[in-house]
Amino acid sequence: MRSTDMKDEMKDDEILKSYLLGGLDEEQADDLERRLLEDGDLFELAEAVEGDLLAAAAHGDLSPAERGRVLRRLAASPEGRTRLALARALTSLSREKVPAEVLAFRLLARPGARAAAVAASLAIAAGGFWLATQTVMPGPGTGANMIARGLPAQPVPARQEVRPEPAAPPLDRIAGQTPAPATPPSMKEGIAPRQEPAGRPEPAPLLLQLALTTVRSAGGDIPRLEIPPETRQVEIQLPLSPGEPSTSFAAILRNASTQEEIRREERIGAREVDGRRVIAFSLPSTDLDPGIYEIEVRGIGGPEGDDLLGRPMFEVASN
Amino acid sequence: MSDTAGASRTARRARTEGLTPESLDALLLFLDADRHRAGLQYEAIRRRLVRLFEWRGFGNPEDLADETINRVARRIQEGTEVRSADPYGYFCGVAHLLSKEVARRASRERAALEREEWQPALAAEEPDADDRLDCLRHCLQRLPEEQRELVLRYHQESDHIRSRQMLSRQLGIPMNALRIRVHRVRRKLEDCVRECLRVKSIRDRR
Repeated sequence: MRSTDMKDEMKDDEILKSYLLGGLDEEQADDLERRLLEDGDLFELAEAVEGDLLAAAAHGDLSPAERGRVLRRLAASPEGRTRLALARALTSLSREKVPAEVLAFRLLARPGARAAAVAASLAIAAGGFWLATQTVMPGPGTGANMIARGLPAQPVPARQEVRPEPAAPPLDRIAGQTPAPATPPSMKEGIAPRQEPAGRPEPAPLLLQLALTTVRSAGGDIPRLEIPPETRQVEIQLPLSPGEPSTSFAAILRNASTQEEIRREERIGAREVDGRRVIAFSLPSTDLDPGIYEIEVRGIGGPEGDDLLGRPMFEVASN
Repeated sequence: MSDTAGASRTARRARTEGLTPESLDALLLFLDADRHRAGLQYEAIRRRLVRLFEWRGFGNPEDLADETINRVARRIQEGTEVRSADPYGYFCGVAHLLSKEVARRASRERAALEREEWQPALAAEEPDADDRLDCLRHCLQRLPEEQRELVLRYHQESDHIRSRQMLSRQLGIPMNALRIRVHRVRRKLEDCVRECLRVKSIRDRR
C-alpha cells in the first residue's frame, strides 16, 4: 500500500474513532456526519470501527473513560446493547485459538480467491487452440507465498505461472514475451493475450482476468498488463464468488492515482466462463494509458442494497 | 429486488412512519427521478440516519430517523425550496436540529426526574446471556467455514490487536479492508442471532 493511502486510512480510522467516542467538536461532528450520510464506504468503515470499539469494550481493552463513553453512546439504544452483548459472546467463543497459518491458508484457498490461479492454469494447447486467459496472482512476499513456505505439506495453490504448451501458438505472437519457448512468462510481467485464430480479420480483445480480491501486496506489487500495439479492445473479466447473490453489477474504472473516472458501466449481467460466473468490462485499449488503475465493482439491488464487492488494481505497462 | 417490490416495501414503511402517500411521492422524486433508485436511496438514508442517532447516544434512534424523514418530506411537499446542494446535506441539517431539540427535552426530563415528577418507561426485557450464546453458536455454524474462522480469529481474546495485524498481513489486505470484511460477517451474525432469539422467546412463551 502506498504510504499516502496508509496515512489516509489511519486518518479516517482516527477521526471515526474520535467521533464515535464523542471526541469531535460539534462542527467537526456535523461535517463528518454529512460525509457519512453521503459516502457508503466511509459509513461502512464507521460501522466496522464501532464494532471494534464494542469488542474492545467487551475485552476490557479500553480505559475507564473510553469504556464509559462507549457504553453511553454506542450502547445507549437497544440495538447498541445487542451489539455489545454480541461482542461479549464472540469474545468468549473465540477462546479456542485458530492457528493463523491455517486460517490464512483456508481463506486464500477458497474458490473466490483461487479463481485467478485456477483459470490461469487452464492453458489448453493442441494445434489451433490458444491461451484464453491469464490471471494474476499476488506478487512475491505476499500471504500466499508465506503460507506455501510455512505449510509445505499442504496443497497450497502456488503462484501460478502460465506455461505455454509446446503445441501452443508461436510465442512471438503473445505479447510481452520473447520467443523463447522454455521461458514461462513471469507473473509480474506477462499477461498473455487471447491468441488470434487464423483467418479472423479483427484482433481478438486482450483479456485480463482479475480476482475481485486482487490488491497491492505487501511488497507493493500489483498485476501488470502489457498491451500490444495492435490491440483495440481490452476485456477485463472479474470472476464472482459462487455464492454472490446479486445478478446485476456496476463497474467503475478509475485512475488509481488521480481517482479520475475513466469508464463506468451499470447493470452488467454475469456470464458463464469455464463454468464460473464472471462479469466482463470491455473498453478500447486507447482508454488505458500507462499507469495504475482500479476497478470498483458493486453488486446492485441485493438484499442489503448496493454491495461493494472489490476494488482490484492493475498496472498498464509502458510500451 | 424488483421495482414493484422495492417501492412497496418503502411505501409500507413510510405509512407506518406517518408519511402520507403524497409526501412520500414528493420525497422519492426529490431523491431520484427513477422510483426504484429513489426507494433504494430512501432505505439507505433511513438506515444511516438511525445509526447516526445511535452514535450520538440517543436511545430511540429509529423514531428520530423517522421524524427526520417526516420533516424533510413535509417541507418538500409544502414546496419549501431545498437550498442544500445535495439531498444528504439537507437530511443532515434537519437531523442536527432534531437532535438539539431532543437533547434539550432530555435535559428537561432529567430535571423533572430529579424532582420526581416523571417516571421513565422501563427498558424492554433483555434476552438471557446463555440464550444469546446458544444462538451465536448456532449462527456461527451456519456461516461458511472461512467466515467463521475469520470472525473468531479477529475476536480472539489474547493479544487481539497483534493477531489482527498479523491476519491483515497474511491476507495481504489493508487493516480497514479486514475490518470491513469482519463487519459484514458480524452483521450476518447479528441478524441471525436476532431471529434465533425471537424464535426462542416465542417458543418459551408457549
